[in-house]
Amino acid sequence: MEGKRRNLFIFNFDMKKFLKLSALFLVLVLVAIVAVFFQADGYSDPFYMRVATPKQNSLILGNSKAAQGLQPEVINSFSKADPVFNYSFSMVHSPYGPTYLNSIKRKLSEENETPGVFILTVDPWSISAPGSDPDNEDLFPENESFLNALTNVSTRPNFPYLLSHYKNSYAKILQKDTTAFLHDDGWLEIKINMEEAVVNNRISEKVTDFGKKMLEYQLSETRLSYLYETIDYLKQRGKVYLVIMPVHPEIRHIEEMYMPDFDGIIRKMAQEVTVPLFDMTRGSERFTFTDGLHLAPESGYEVSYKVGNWIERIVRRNPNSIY
Amino acid sequence: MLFNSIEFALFLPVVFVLYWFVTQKGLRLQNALLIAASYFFYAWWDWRFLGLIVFSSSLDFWVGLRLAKTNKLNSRKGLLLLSILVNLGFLGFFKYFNFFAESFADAFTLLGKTMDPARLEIILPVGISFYTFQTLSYTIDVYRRKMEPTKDVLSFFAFVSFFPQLVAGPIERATNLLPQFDKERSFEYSAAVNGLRQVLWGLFKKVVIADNCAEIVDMAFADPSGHSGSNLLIGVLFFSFQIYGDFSGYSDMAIGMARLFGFNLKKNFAFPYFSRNIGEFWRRWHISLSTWFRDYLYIPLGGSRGSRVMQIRNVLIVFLVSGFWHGANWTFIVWGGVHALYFIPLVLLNRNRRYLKDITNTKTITWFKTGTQILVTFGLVTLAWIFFRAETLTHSIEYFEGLFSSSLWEVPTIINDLSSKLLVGFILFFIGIEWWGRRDEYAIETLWVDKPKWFQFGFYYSLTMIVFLFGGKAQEFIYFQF
Repeated sequence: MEGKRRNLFIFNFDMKKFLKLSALFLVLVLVAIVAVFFQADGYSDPFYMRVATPKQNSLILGNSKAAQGLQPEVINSFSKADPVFNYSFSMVHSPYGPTYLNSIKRKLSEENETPGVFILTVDPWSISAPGSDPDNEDLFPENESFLNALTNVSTRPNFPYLLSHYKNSYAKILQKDTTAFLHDDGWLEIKINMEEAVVNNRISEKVTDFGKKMLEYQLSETRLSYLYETIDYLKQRGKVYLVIMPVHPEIRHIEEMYMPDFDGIIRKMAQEVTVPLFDMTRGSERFTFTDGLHLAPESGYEVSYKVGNWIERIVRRNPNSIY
Repeated sequence: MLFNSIEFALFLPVVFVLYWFVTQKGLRLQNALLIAASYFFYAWWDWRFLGLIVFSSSLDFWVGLRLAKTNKLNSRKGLLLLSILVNLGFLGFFKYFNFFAESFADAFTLLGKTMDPARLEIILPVGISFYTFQTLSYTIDVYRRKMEPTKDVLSFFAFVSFFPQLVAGPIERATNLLPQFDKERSFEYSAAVNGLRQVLWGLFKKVVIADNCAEIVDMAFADPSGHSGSNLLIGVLFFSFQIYGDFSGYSDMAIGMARLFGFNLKKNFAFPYFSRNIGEFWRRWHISLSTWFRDYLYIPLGGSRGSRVMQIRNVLIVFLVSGFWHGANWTFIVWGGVHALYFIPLVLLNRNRRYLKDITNTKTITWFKTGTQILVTFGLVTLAWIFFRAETLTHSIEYFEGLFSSSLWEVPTIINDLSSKLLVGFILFFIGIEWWGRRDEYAIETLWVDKPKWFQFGFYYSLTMIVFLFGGKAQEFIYFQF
């Protein structure tokens, strides 16, 4: 009887006290967590701000070459239209495919009263996939990435990203490590040791790395068709420009060995979809790279200037063109 | 579903509320809820293997009932054998099939004939080694008439699948845990707070110590030839803390969570790195497994009775089997063998039963002597971990070669950034707290409990924030793979 009574009145003093104190503790912990999340910014990691800034009308797309190499501020100085935002991630996250296309759609604003500007950077890796079945989109590595998982890429703090996809310890949010800084416009600025010996070492590491990659990767017809689809979609929202980013001659050599007909594929595509193409690989040796793949900020400025200038010239030449 | 995941942070309060507020009116209802919650918890990984747990539970429940109904020795032996064969059969198939197939093929290759091993694409069901041993302990104890078989199917199924300890132990004995499912549970504030405190300490060990150590350990073990001996030394030292933090952290969380539901699980770790010899280490490390092997293998083999040769044989068998239990790889067998070699001299010198009591209760031992013994034991255990962590025997030899090279005396470079230096600080803090609380069930059980409430609250809050801010990249619990 005693036992039964206790069972019926389980919400007793002990339980009340436990729940009250646990709730208080939990609330204080949650408040601290939310406060830390509000501090997340461009220092936190190389991706966060891209999914924590408002929806955009104009985008720079591609992988880390574009993320570090194209500076929206410089490109925007040529145009009075909506500013472009760098929505490029990395070779793992943002090769062309269903994941990236869906994420692009999520990042674009619903109403586009003014036509946008879309700079799509391409390289052999952005239309390739690893493994023996490169055309099977179910096996694309980015399916496992946050770009596929996040349904919202424009709120700050972006709680789903910080809770489930943030790879650093949260203490990093409170540190202001200045090696890498992701600007609010999506440009990833890297400040690392640029002594010649150190840079050469990094280049030789990248060369080894890409030498291995070329054995793992193959051209993916599926990715290529998604690149077509991405261009078609973006053409409905504005003007599309294709850019082949410069790389260090040694990496360029590997890329040429890996996909000898890459230039031909892209040129054919540009003609078919009638978008202008800017191949910046010629004259690559004039630029400085942090590791052979990514442009140093000064060279990134120069390349961004050239891209901005190129677009401005096209627009000036053909103000009413379909471009 | 990992204990340190967001999904589990939502799962646990839901089960807690249902348990104490919805199903509290009936014991059987509570047990049914625990079964449902445990199966859901398990199915989160892979629902396909739920059938195995259900089958093992059904079989052993039936075997228990049948054992109670017959006194014929042959029938009883047959029933026990059925339980052992089926349970170990599942374990053997899922965990060891490929190992035996490959070893068989290797043996042929050594004889000059080549043979392709018949490999199967087998997924190892999470926690199979743990629940198999737990359910086996029931049938063996019923067979030995150490306990009466339960007639309540819900109690038994809940005992086998109890989610806090389902996938990585502690391996509970039926004699301890099963009767708790038959008794009415009542909520007690002090037990629940104690449980949460232990969960918090387990989280700290897992997330701050183990997961952060893992990053450095992975670097060292990924390329032993590319690191100096001093870096490799740091690598294996950190692995000692990683595996302890990982596994004892899991056990702390399991025991703490069980307290929230009114259950008492057995202590699984008793500050093993403060042991003064290997015998003491094995009385303090993974206690639920060591005692399982002691009671169901070592003693039936004859234990410490019989000739010296028999004693050595028994020790060797137990350690080799224990090593093999950890994984289907020669590295684990060698790891067990190395510990047997550490242990046998103690048996021969009759010193394996020394230090049965707590370190501080021993008045005759000086600090210097105790400190040296602890360091030597820790050093031996740490060296053996190389076999445990290495992918293959060749890998472990490569690691040893790099470790004991002249570069052992170089300044280590693997601890080079702020976070790894911070980790060293956390490890020192961790050792300090563990030493302070070494007489308790877990390190912070009585730490500052005599201080004002606001002080205690502040300490737990700080610890929680450390877990949140400095937690390493989430890693699966190492013992899940076993």
